[in-house]
Amino acid sequence: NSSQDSSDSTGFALSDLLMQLEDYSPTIPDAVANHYLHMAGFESSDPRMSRLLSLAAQKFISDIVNEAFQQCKLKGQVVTAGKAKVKDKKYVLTMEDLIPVLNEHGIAIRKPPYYT
Amino acid sequence: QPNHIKMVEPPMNTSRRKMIQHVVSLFAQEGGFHTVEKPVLELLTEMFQASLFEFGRSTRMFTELAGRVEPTVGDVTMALIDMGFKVDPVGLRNYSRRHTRPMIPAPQTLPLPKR
Repeated sequence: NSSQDSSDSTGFALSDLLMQLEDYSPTIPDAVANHYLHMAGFESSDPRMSRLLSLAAQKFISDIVNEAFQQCKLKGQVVTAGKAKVKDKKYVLTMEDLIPVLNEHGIAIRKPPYYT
Repeated sequence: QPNHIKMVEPPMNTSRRKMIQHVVSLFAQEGGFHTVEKPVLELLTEMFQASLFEFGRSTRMFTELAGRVEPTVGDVTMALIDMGFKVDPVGLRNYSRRHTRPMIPAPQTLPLPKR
């Protein structure tokens, strides 16, 4: 499992990341991630491979949520710009915030027909 | 609700799905949200599950294409790139080391029955 080729400008390569994944526990337990990977036929004796994949999946979802939060915040500012400042504003993650973010990622979300 | 219409039980993996829902909720909380709409939580859970599954499937395809059975870093990288993800070691390292990282304890395993 050597990968000397994928070094970037800062000198931190994928192989260095893999070294760090040796004793790292992702947010999602390894057992859960491994179950889904096994379902797809992925089998590896090296736990770092599955950790790398689960880390990538986590970052994907996390990035989407963070972008949706920026959208939500911007929308909130427009609405409350004229009014007095609202204390302890509660942010709710809604479909309206999420859909534009997902569209940017190339994922089209449609409501199922006859959905109430 | 009439008696003859029964709610269809969700397919298997209920406990694992709950775990993923938990993780997605933690990400939303980490991002700054206080509440997540139920359909959104369900959508993100499904996306998480589907992307993990697809990563695994794609990696296996690249492994088998090369005539191997043990996946290598190259296969994983190729799978990620093939799905349109940018493999950025620095970004992934920063992400894995962020100080707000939520943690979920690993599920407890039952002890093996004694004979």
